[in-house]
Amino acid sequence: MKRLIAFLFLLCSSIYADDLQFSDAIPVTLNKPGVFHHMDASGRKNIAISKTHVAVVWEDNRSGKPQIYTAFKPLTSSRFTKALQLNSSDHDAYEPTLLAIDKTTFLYAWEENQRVWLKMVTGNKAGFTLQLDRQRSSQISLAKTANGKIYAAWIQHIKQQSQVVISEIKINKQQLLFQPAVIVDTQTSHRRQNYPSLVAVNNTLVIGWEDRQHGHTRIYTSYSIDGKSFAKKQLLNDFIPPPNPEFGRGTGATRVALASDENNKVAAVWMDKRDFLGGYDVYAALSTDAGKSFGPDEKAQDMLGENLPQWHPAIAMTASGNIIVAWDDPRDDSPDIWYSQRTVEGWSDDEAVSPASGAGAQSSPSIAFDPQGRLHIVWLHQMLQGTALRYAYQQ
Amino acid sequence: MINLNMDVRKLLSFILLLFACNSFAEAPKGYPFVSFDQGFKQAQQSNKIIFLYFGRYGCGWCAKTNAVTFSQQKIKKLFTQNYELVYIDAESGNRVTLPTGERITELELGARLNAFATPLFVYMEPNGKTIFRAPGFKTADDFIGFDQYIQGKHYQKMSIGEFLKTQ
Repeated sequence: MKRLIAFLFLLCSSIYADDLQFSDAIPVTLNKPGVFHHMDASGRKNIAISKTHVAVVWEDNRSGKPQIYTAFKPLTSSRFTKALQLNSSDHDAYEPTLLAIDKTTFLYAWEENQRVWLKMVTGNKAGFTLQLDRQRSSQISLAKTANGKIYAAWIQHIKQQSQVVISEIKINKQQLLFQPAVIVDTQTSHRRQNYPSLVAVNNTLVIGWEDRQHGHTRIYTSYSIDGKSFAKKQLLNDFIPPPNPEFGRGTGATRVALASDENNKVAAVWMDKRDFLGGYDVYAALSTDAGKSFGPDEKAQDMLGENLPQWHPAIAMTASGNIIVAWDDPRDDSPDIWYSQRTVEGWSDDEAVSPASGAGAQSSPSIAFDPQGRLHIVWLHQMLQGTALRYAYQQ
Repeated sequence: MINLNMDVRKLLSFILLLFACNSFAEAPKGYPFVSFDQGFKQAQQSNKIIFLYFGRYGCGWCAKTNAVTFSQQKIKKLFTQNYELVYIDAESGNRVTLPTGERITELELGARLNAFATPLFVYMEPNGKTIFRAPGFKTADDFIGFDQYIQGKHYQKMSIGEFLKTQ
């Protein structure tokens, strides 16, 4: 009955956007029993696109331990290169991300042995690996400003605190250098912060993170015009107090991801548990002033996903400001990848990514637009005895 | 009178604040809850059923279950004696090792279990096979019924719903 009501409501309130037509699924990696792939970068940036190439980064345990790998291809090619391992130690490594630097150069970052690391790769030539932080650190995110400055933001764990810090990265003749890290939120005395997502909009840095300071998870944002000092943090998600103030501190909002365009627009997406009976929903908010303020929370998914939890929301924006979010949910019994586009009337009806739906379980999408405004998507295809990574692009 | 009212208000606020500080909804106090990996390791040795408490930081129903149900001595005795107790922080990036060897975060474990609400209580065999899941606030009587189902090994013959109808 609930589904019927939702369907009837939907018929009356649909927002249409042109469906995206995707290529067939292209393998990034193949399935091997016992090998498990993961794409869970802070901010969900596991795919990046330069003017000519697309690169994907992930973690898998093919060597017996979680390690970091990349594969790439020219935009015009239908085959990815063989996987290139990025880290070289025997320690476990997790949550890699990447950033396009120029046509064939990508900057990679990840957590390994409880520290964050960087490496630059040009073509299939890997540069030196740089340890970014001597403190225990994790959950790194990268961004590049319009004037070419590169920044990394991550979580630094000191004693009982976990705090977002940021550092400028410099590239000098294939050498990576970094400035001392600065704390983003200097106004909070005891920081419990996680999973930052960093973007640049023109030359302004905008950062979002999840914060446990108030006894539950909230999403905060801040911005900086010089990469050294940040504006006072602002609450992004609506605060929903607990129904009974005796118990609990509020609903949860987690795993924020940001995207930006070239015209001062920044969009955020996150998992939000304000409807605690239906699991996490996908919520979004938009800034049109380079992250100085965000508009009201917007539910990005449609009513047909209402009674099910949504997971792994990712976001991408074209240079001209078209916004799309993608996630996975099991509304057709097993997880598939769904997307919604933001139109002038609001968020469009949810559509399945055709090559990432149907038999099997498809999850953990990461998305990016190429310079021509075509969407590229990579996701995890789960099989009975392991996983594989698959990719498709908008035709 | 005005001053007295203000003092009372301040005192009440202080008491509320104290209470609130204890209502973040983490693992119930005084119970031997351990990490997922440690709990599985212990279950291999003890052969006890694993009781997985899937809670969210700040979750009201988790806090209520802790305050109303897990605070009871008989429940503490039942869980401490009969189960390996595992607490999962539903939004955390802490890593767990699944029986397949796969390493995932605690949030990802929620995605795999399609945990749509917290608290979610999952009873598992020592090999990681799920016996049944019970979402939402639970009373002491609920947990005592579940315990009879588990300890009597009725799960080998019937679902929890069928079992509870026979009680």
